[in-house]
Amino acid sequence: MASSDHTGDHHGSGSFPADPMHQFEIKRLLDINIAGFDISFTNSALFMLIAVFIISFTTIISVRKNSIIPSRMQSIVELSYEFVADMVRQNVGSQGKNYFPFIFTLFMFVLFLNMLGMIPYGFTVTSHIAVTFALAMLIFIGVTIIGFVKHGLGFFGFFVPKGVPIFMLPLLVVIEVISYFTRPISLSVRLFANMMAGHTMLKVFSGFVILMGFLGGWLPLAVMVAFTGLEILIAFLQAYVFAILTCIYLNDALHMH
Amino acid sequence: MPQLDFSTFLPQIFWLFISLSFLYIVLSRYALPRVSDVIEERKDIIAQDIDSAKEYSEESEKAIEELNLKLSEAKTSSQNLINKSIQDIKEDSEIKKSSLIKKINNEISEAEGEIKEKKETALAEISSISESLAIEMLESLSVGEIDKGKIAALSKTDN
Repeated sequence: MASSDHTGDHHGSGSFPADPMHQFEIKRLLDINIAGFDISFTNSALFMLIAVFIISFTTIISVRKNSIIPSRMQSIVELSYEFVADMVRQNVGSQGKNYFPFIFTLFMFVLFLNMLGMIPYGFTVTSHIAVTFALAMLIFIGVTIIGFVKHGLGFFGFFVPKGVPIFMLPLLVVIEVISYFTRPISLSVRLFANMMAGHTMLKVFSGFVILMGFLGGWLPLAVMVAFTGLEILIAFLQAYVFAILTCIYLNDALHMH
Repeated sequence: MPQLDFSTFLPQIFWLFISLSFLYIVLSRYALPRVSDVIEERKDIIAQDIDSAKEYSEESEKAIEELNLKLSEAKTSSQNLINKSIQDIKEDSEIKKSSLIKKINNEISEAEGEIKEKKETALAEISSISESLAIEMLESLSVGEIDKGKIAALSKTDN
């Protein structure tokens, strides 16, 4: 452990007031080591637990029974429920009902991790490739298992496009297999790169605000404000994209095109 | 780049799976069934309300129909009443008119008879008066013997 060194030095910004990569550092808050495995409680874990707590708390506490007119919080919960339910219904169909809780969990989890990152001094869990790739692999492996359970060995037929000349088939099968196996990479890198790039840029502009001082710092500050709005949009959009791509992969596994 | 510090991968992934599975259990066991129950319940209540509203509107339509029926009934009965009374008045006036005409006719004929009578008597009187007048005139002229029968015949034929 204790290997979380100051990686920002690579970027040669010695005099730059705010190291843009410093915000992504994993800090060990509680060292835990079980059977030689390092499972320390870090700031990343803290923010995951905060997200879990907020989501569980709001969805359970704010939803009251026998309420014909919902409260504001309940409306938000119901709206997100309907939003994800519509997404699953449109992209997976009626068979997707069984997987709705998982898609909902995934969407809310990623959304809250992204949004918590927008709070000043917050930590963006999804700006780490380890987290997004683990999520993507979980989805990839789960979806592949579902495909094989549903279709048996017939799921291999997924890699054989229909209506293609026989001499083209070997090439296309290779392409299909590659595109299938790059899914977790594209899924995870998309989320991680978006979150990291946005936060880095915000930090760079905040550095400009300090460097340009009271006279010149207003322009980068205005840009920062605008980018903060854009980042909130991206935080939502990436969670949505993550969930909808999971739906599409699930649909492929269930219906094989 | 802190993202490429492999020593942090295991704790991140471990806590990711812990929190994700905890969240999944909480949401799928407790939160989501509750939310769907509440939404379903509300849909049911709204559907019931719509049903009862439909019932009420049907009832009101029925009442309107009944009202219209009664209105038209009342209209026809009042029309009948009006027609009847007009007929009655007409008949009554007809009767009165004919009796009046009869009475007038009677009176006219009576008056005519009276006039005729009076004329005849007057005529008869005229012939006797003219006879006596002629006799008187002739006597005053002293023409001699007066043939009274001839004068009477003359006065009668002259008239």
